[in-house]
Amino acid sequence: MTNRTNPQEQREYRTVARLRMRMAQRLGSLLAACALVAASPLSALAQDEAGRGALRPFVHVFLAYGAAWVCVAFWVWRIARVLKKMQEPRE
Amino acid sequence: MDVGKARSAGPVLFAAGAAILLVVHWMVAFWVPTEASMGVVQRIFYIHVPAAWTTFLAFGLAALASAAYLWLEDERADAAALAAAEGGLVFGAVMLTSGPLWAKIAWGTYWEWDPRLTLTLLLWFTYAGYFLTRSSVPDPRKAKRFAAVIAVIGSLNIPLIHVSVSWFRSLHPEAVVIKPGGPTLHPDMLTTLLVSLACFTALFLGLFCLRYAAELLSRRRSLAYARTDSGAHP
Repeated sequence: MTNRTNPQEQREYRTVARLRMRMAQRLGSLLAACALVAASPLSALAQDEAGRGALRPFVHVFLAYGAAWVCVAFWVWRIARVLKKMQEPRE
Repeated sequence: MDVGKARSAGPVLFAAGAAILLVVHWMVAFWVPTEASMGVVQRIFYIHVPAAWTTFLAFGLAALASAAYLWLEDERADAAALAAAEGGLVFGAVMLTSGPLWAKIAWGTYWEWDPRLTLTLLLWFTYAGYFLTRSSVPDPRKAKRFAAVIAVIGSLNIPLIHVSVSWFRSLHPEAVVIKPGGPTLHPDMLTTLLVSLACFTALFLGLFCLRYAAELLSRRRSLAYARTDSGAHP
C-alpha cells in the first residue's frame, strides 16, 4: 500500500478511481444491454419446441466451423512452438 | 525443397489462405443459396468437402514423400512426410467433426458404420499410428522407415474411400463434383465450394511449408549440437 501525502497525487488518484468506476459502470450496462438484445429472440424461440428445432441446424453449423478453425489454430500453435524452441539458447 | 524457399513460401501461402477464408465466410453466410431439402445445415458442406480433399492431398503427399524416403533415405523426404501427415491429421479431424455434426441433422445420427465413414476413420487412425510408430521405436532410422511403410500402405485406402460410395450400399451421398457426367451442383454452390477448396489448399500448403522448414531446421540444429558435443568430448 502506498502512502499518498502529496495533495496533487491524492487528487490524481481520486480522478483515476472515479474514471475507472464510470468505465466499469458503462461496460456493465453495455454488456447487460447486449445480453438482453441477444436473449429476447432466443428466449422467445426456446419457449416452443419448433423454435428450439429451428435453432439446432445453426448451432451445428457454428460448431462445425468453430471446430475447424480450432483445429487449424492448434496446428499453427504447434508450428510456432517448434520455431520458438529453435530461437531459445541451448541449456 | 530448400528450407529458405519453404520458409518464404509458407507465410505467403498461409496469408493468401487466410484472406480467401474471409471471402469464404462471407459467401457461406450471405451469398450462397440455401439448399432446398437439407436447409441451413448443408452449409457445413463448404468446410467438410474441402477438409476431406485437403486430408487426401496431405496423406497422398505423405505417402509419396515416404516412398521417396524409403528409396533415397533423404532426410528432406522424411521431414516432408512428417509435415504432410501432421496436416492430414489436422484436416482429417476437421472432416471427422464436421461430418457427424451435419449427419445428426441430415440423417438423424452422428455416426453410422457405413463403408465410407469407416474407411475414413481407419485412414485417420492409420496416420495416428504413423506418429505412434515414430515415437515408440527407439532406433530413429528404423522408426522413420517403419513409419514410411505405414504411410505408403495407409494411402492405398484413399482411392477405396473415393469409390466406396458407388461400390457399396452407403448412406453417404455420392460425389457431386468429380463424376463422369460433370458436376451436378448449383453454379453458386459450386463457386463457393471451389473458393473454399482454394482456401483450404492454400492454408494447408502454407502451414506444410512452415512445418517442413521448422522440422528441417530443428534436425540441423540437433545435428550441429551433436557434432559440437562429440568434438568437445571425443
